[in-house]
Amino acid sequence: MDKTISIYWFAIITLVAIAIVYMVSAFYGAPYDIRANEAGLLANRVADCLSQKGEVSSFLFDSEGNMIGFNNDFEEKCGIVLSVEEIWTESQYYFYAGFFSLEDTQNPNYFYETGNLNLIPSCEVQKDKEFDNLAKCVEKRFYSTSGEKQYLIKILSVVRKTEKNVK
Amino acid sequence: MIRKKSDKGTILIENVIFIILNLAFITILILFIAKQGSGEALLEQAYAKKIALIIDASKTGTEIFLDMSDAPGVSEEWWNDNYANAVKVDGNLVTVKLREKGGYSYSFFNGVTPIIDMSPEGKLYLVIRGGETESG
Repeated sequence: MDKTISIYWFAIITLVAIAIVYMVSAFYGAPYDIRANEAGLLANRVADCLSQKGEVSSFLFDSEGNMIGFNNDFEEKCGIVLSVEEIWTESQYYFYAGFFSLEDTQNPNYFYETGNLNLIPSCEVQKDKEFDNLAKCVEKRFYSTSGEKQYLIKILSVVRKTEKNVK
Repeated sequence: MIRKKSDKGTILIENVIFIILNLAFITILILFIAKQGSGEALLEQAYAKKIALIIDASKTGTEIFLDMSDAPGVSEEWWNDNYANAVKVDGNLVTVKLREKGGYSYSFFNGVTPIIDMSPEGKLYLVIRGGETESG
């Protein structure tokens, strides 16, 4: 009788142990998700690069005042490094910066995008509901001037890094 | 009479084994929860991500002081020998290592050079310099 009780007892406490181990692991094993913060900081960094004190950065224009944008020198001019840890083979960042005139805020006068284009659908999917396993997106928009001209600048920054931020 | 004595002895041994196994089980469970709760790996991850975000948010010339006074408690012996290398920056990768078999790395996108100085008490002094990133 005692032996039977012992067997059942240990079966019960084994189940309890498994449940406790699972719960503790789930609680403490989940990594901190900082992707939204990172995407926000990236958007701010790009915004600081494109416009300073309310004026569009002069390096985006040629000597005649025409917008020439970046010539594959974005990382150098903005001081941004988009390389990531070796565990990923493709870029974990994407961003888009569009310059719109105030008359037409749908078609950009100039836009620049770089990073992993495959991350864009993550933003579309998450417009209604957020999914942890998808990349995090942050959109910013602000106005800036260049001489007489006014621009609406839209920035979209996306950070994936799912493996390091989601269990 | 002899048989009865033998039965009593068996019951006692069974009870002792039962109690010992129960105590062992509870001890293992408490140790497991305590180890998980102390969060050595979690602490490394938290500091690596925190430092990466600080660097991302900083402009050239920024000086930052970060209190990591709970870091020496993770592994005091290891810390005393290696505190200067507990936080390292290699390229655009921050690595925080607070114990022998540990370490967590996280990348930052800001193309600056963080200069790192860690005190034995766990006070991190970070200076953000411009230009290419290099080992701190």
